Amino acid sequence: MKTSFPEDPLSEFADAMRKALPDPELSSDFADSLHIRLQRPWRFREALRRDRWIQVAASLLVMTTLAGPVAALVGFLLLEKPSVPVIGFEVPHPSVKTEVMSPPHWQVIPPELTLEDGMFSLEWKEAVEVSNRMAQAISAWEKSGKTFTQPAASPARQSWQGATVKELQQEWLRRCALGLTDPPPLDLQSRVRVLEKEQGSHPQLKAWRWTLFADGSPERLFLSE
Amino acid sequence: MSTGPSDLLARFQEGDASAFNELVKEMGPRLKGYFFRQGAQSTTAEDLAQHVFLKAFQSRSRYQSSGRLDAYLLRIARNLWIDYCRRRRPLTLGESFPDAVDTAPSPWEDGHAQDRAQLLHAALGQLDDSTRELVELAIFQQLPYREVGEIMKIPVGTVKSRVHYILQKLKRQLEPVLGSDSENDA
Repeated sequence: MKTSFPEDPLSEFADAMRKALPDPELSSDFADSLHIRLQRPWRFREALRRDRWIQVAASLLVMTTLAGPVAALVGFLLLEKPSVPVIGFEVPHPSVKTEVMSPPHWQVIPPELTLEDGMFSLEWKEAVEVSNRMAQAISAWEKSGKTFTQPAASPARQSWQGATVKELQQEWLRRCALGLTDPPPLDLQSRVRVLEKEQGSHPQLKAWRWTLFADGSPERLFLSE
Repeated sequence: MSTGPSDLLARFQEGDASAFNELVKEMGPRLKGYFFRQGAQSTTAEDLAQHVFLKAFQSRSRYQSSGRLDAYLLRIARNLWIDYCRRRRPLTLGESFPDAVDTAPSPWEDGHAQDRAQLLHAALGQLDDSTRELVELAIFQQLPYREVGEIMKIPVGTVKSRVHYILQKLKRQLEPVLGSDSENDA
């Protein structure tokens, strides 16, 4: 299946073409220069182009060289930036002490006076003691769970000089119901003293006797009622 | 030459250094002619021919002696020429073919023959790349149609019909010149 066209005018024309444009002669130094090129010393680029192992080694070298910077770049771009530290100090959250609500339970802590009366007057000391005893009485009443049988009201008085036993009792009950531990006025105290002297130990005044003179005990105040 | 090109490369693969010289002597002009007729200058054609031998030398271990060595070398030459044309700016007729001013020494001595060669070269230059390559491989290199089809990746039937058509066309165009010469020679 060659390009010969026997007995064909085209074959003759093809021969004429080959004859008209034959292969040119090589230059005289063709073989020598080719020989020099064949014996050219080893060059990295040519070896890299031809030798597969050198290609693998070069690839590994390039990859290991680039691995560090690429990893750093990826880390810089993709990973989360560390949060900026807060300059200062943080106070640990204190444990909240919740006060458990419980039924009122009064515990009276008597004052401890380590100094003599030179600093605190005797009246002040007595006022505190009266206030504490009133608080004890109120606590005892709440513990007893009793209620007043009559309204805890007392007449509004400017002076207790003429107060009756009944009125004094109502005043104590009013104070007890309202939780008032303030010391009563002096004229009330003196009126209680007067009535005690006149009528003896009146049972309706036993609450005042405890409150003002520490006579009796708060637990017994409501036993008879 | 008693041995074919395939035998030469086989001998060279076995360590016969003189075989390569014989191969160069036999195939060198054909390769230079291939590049020259494709449009390369004379010096460029020779340089590219040397590259073909260098590539054949470097890849000699991969060559299988079952095929034709000239087809193998022409396949390398074709790839080299394609690479060369890609690297340089596109060819134009005025730059590449000798009907324009060509300062390179002409490979032909005779004046009349030179005229005919230039005319034929110019006619080849007017063909498109694929047709010119087909003419080169089938007519000038005289490769079998099957080899030409394999190199150019076209069916054998297409090769035959195209060669026939091109020859008829070139004959109509060049017969006054080439025909008179052959008559004169006769």
